[in-house]
Amino acid sequence: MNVIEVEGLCKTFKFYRKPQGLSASLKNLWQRQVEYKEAVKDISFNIEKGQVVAFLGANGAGKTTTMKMLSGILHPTGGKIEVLGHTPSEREEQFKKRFSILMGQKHQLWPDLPAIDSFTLCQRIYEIPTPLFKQRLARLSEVLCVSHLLDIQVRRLSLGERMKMELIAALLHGPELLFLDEPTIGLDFLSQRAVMRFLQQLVREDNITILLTSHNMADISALCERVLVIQNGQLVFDDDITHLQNSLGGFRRIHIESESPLHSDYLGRYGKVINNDIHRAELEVDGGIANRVLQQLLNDIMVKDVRVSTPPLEDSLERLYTRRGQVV
Amino acid sequence: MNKYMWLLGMGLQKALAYRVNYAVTILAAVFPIILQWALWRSIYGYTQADTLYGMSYAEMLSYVVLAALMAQALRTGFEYDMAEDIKSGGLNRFIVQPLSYFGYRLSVFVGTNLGYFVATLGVMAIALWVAIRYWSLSIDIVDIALFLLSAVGAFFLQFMLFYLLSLTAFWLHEVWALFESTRVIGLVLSGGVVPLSVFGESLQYWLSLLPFQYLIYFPIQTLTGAISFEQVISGLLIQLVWIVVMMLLIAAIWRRGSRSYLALGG
Amino acid sequence: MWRQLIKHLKIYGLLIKLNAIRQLEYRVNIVLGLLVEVGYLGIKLLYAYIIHDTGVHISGFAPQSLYLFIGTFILMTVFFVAMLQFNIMAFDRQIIEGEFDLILTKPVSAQFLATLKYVETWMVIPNIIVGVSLVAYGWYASGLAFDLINICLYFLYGLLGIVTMYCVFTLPLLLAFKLHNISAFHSLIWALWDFNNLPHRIFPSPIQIIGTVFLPIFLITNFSPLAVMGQLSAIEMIWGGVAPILLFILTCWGWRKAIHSYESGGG
Repeated sequence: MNVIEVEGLCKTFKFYRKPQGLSASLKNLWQRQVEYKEAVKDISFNIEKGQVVAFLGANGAGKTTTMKMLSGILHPTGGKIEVLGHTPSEREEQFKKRFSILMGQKHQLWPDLPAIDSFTLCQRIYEIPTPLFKQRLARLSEVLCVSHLLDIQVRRLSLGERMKMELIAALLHGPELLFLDEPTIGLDFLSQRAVMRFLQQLVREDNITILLTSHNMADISALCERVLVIQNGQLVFDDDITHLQNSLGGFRRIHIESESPLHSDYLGRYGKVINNDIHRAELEVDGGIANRVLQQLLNDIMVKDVRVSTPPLEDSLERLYTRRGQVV
Repeated sequence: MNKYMWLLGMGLQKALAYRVNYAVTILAAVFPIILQWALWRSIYGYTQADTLYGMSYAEMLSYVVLAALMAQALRTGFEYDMAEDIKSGGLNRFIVQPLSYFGYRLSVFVGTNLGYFVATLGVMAIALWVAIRYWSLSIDIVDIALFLLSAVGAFFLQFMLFYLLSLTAFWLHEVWALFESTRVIGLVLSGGVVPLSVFGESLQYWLSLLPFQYLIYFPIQTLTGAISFEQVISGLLIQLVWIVVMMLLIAAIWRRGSRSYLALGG
Repeated sequence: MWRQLIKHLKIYGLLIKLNAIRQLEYRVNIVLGLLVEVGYLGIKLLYAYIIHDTGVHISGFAPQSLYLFIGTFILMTVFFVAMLQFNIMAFDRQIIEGEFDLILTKPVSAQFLATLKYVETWMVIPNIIVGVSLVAYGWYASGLAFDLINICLYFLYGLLGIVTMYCVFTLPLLLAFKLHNISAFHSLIWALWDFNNLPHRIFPSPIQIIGTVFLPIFLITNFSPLAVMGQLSAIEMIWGGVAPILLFILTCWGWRKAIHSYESGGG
């Protein structure tokens, strides 16, 4: 069953340009230069129930815009969206009660009140029956280890604790679909992990569907099975996360340590030299020839130690962003 | 000095960017004037008095119109930016840059408000023309010159007053209410609503010890020729003294405030 | 419809409570806020003082009945400050910073949350005390009967006045969707509000008509005292009931349009 169905989605923004200087400001009094920006161009994809999908792309690529259209905040300029069987831009109340959106930089809790007070406001807004509300709150706050912090003013909490509270607020009405826009931004390593572990548990136990944007690759590889990459408003990749590396040529990295000096000229014959400090080098080669190169190296050089690895996800993405960037 | 002129230009640009706002704010000044006009018309009409609170109907009308416009001309708004700078570490920039914060604020204030100030003075000129023409008010050219002098003084006095007030942000968590209450109470005490003579002799004496009346009451009295040349000169001097006193206060408080700011680490 | 109304009323009740708790956290602010309100109250009382001092009768109203007007104005100011003022001030910020985005995803009226979220509680107390006293004194001194009909009339037109007030001041907010800086409109709004300082009969009739029919700010505070004093004509009584309802419908319609074409702030 598809939770999200998107077809040919487009979004164009209008904006004004103001050139530098006083005379330009004066001129702006009479007329303004209108320009258009195509933020999202012809995107199509489906997401099934229970899937956890990462939405990747450079800043300004169109991730947040797409997410806002999926949640009904923005109207699409063109194309069709169906989320949970509703058209989001109609903003039906029944639809709103079935999903939740959490943006890492926007807070819905009142900073001057303890979180519990903001939660009761959520209860009223989403019309959650009191027993259910109490039960969910108890469970969520226990899993996130914040039960003892519920009656402390939110602004006195640490950023990580605050984020956990925001998560609770987003989940109290039991949404089937969760949009997360950079949920771990600004959090320290421990809080990031705690949030991610919690989301994993949520997916496992409640079969919730999640669409997540993040710049943190650790988040993504821990949580998501599928990746959508958006570049300049276009969808350039939509597949399983393991395929992300393979589809880009499946590069391998060879780390060599040697007694004799290593020459970049020599290594460069087989692939790209990532770094070389004479006795230790890192070489990136095409996955298909990795075995052959390895043999050749072992023949040619006095190798002390050798290790093969896959390049980090960030590198694959960088390649994807820049490669498609040139084509467009 | 050049960089301050540049800042001044930036302020002017910022003001121009919001074109609709600009027109609307000037328009907003008209409403209280209509209210006052209706009130005094009824009062003079009902009581049939030649003078009330030492003013004829024409003088009263001219006063409230000019005072309301003057109050608009002295609009501020930088105090909120300044409080924000102090509270959220915006001052750090000025600690590392060769730029005096006072100079920066003054330039931006003059830049953002100059156009507005001059435009409002223009509206006042029209009002004055109406007053001379239809309400038979007589005005001396010398008085206009003296008024312009006192208006410039009022402009700077207002800046000093709100700059001084903004410095409380070093110690106070929330400053909004302080700014607003000073603005409202200051408006009444400076004669921006009704002439201070309404308050009676004794209260007026106490008010003369405060700086507020040099913002509106004194300049307008100068303009309408209600006070003698000697009184104008001594008034201008007192206005200047107030500006200097405030500057000294600002310097002293700034020193203490920035010390506590640095101690907190911004 | 009815269920929605109950739901929103319940939420509003909770909002009042939460705001009251929140404001108690900043005791200094309450004191300073009281100071601001006392300042504004001072200006309103200044008019009362001038009227008292000169003993003026405005359009046939003796000073005693003018206190009824000024008292009602002060009480309406309570609603204005408590319900609207801070929402109006925070409104364009909500749009610029994208807080409005989140409001749109909530299963309640976005108009309701965006315009009524903040409630000012403690700092309106002096206005309530002074307003009630002035109204009581004006009512008593003008020799008006303190009976059920009069009280109902006063409250009915008072309630309609609040509806009018809500509409007149939230309708211009829609401009924030287009302009992104509406601080000048705030000053326009404050200035308009002060028109109600004195009974509208003081103004020349063109202004009276504009302020009653086209931009009905005079309906806010004038009609409840006038109704009690039996000074409303039949047409005025009907208009005082119809106009707020029409205006409310217009406001909701305008909001629906504006929200529909809303473009969120952050890309």
